[in-house]
Amino acid sequence: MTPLTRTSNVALTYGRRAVLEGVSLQVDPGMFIALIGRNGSGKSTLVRALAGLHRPAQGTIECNGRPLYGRGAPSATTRGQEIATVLTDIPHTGYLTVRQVVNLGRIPYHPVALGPRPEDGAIVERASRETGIETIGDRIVDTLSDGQRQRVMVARALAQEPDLLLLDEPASFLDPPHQVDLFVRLGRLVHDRDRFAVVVATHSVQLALEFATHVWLIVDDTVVTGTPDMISDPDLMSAAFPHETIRYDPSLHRFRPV
Amino acid sequence: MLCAAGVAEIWLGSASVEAVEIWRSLFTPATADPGALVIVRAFRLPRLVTAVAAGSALALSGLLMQTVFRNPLAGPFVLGVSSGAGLAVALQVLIVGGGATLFAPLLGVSSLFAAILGSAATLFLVLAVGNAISQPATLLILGLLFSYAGNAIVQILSSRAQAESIQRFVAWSYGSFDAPQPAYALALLGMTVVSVAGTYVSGARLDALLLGPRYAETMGVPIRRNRVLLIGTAGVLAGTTTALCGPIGFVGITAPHIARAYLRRSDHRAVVIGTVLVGAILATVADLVSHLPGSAGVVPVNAVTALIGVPVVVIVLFRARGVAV
Repeated sequence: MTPLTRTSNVALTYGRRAVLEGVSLQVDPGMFIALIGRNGSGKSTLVRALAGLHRPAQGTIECNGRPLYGRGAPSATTRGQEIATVLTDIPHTGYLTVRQVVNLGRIPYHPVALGPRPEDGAIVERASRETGIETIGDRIVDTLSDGQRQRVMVARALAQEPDLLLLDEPASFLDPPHQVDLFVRLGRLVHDRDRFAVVVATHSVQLALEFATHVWLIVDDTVVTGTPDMISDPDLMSAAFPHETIRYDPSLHRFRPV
Repeated sequence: MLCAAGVAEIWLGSASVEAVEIWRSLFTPATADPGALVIVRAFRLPRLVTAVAAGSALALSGLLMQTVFRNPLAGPFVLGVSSGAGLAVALQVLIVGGGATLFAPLLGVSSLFAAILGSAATLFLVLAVGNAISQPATLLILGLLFSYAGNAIVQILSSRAQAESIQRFVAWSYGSFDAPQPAYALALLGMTVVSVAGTYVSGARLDALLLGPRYAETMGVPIRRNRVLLIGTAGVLAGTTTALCGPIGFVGITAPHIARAYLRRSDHRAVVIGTVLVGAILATVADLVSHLPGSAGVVPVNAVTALIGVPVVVIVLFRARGVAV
């Protein structure tokens, strides 16, 4: 089985600053991966690199067996059918309605400029149901709360019917129950869909360890991978999140003063 | 409303013409009074066509700029595009045009190209600098500065140019829909129609741009190619209009806002139609006011569009939050 995404010895820079080095990762269908690391460790940069938005300074990234950058890279349209991304910013969209924004996810499937196709309706409806926004389809997105708008952006990404769904801090504007709700829904998606995987960058170590099937932990300038149990290690966590007085407590899956 | 404005435009003017004569001039020219025939066919009809073409072209150009720059304050006049086109025309009229009597037939075409080049150059300059801009109002200031620089160069050029060239340039800079060459107005109208059709069919992709360049890229809308295409189109429309009618202010920035607010929609398929209609109406009304019967002279079109446009821009400025369009 071809992995959905594979990176080989990737180095990433942000501006002129080197953030990550020697990153070799693999995403297989059925994986629900949580990416954790301290502020400025390069989580967003890695997500963007996997999304096709940030060319690595070194190494290769493959998606469905083809290079994501350079020669042989898929067109933006093909990439849009394979990878969907939810970024940290939630843009203002004027008078666009929820349904209109979710519909934008269908663009990669439109023959040039012909607009929505009949089968789009069902797919958009399914994506809205899966994110719990099916009842607000006619609302104007800009009038919704930040949390709701973030879910609209997730629904839009699902409407792309991607193999790989990337999310950068999708829980940042959500209240605690909705954060858990989002992770539960993501887990369900990975379970229900064929040839589908999720990578979610998050600050919530607790959610990551509880719901993900695999964890990518950024330690110094590289990525350590493992199951939640393997990552839930005080020494590893201290290396990833150095702090003088706050330490990781594996029995509680969270950080606390010592 | 466009129809009403159009009828009024034909009917009303500095010289009064009987309604019957207008009807005859338009539809049964053989039976019409020769005087009315000339006024209607040679002056008012071309002026209406020019106003509609220029208004809709500027409006569409403004809409495309607002989408590409994700800035509600973008527009051909505000961004200094009209000034850029003006500068190019000034270079052409004041320097080359000094001895241009020989090339009189070519003059129109060459200043057209000058204006298109000038407007496109300004836009790409704004794009290059404006990429780093996050505050909408900053773009406005940048455009203003570009305008100042352009006008300064024009003034320097003027000091060395012939009086006749300067006069022609000043008259041009007031803005006017009195079409010297109706064929150009028709060509502009054709370009606008094609661009509107293009905008309509790629509506969803333009909507994707509202989410920002990164999101657009992840949804299969390659940002670089689209930007060049859209800015190129906006530049050609604004440049052509500016060459024909002078730097007409505020139509481009206001029309998309009026259309969006009226329709309460932001999807480009709906907005593009509304925007060009509003633009055409604005320009026609402005021209109508500037030619109102009884006004001894003719009020510059620019004065009228500014009076309509400034309040709208002020409202938008106060409502502008982030990058909402």
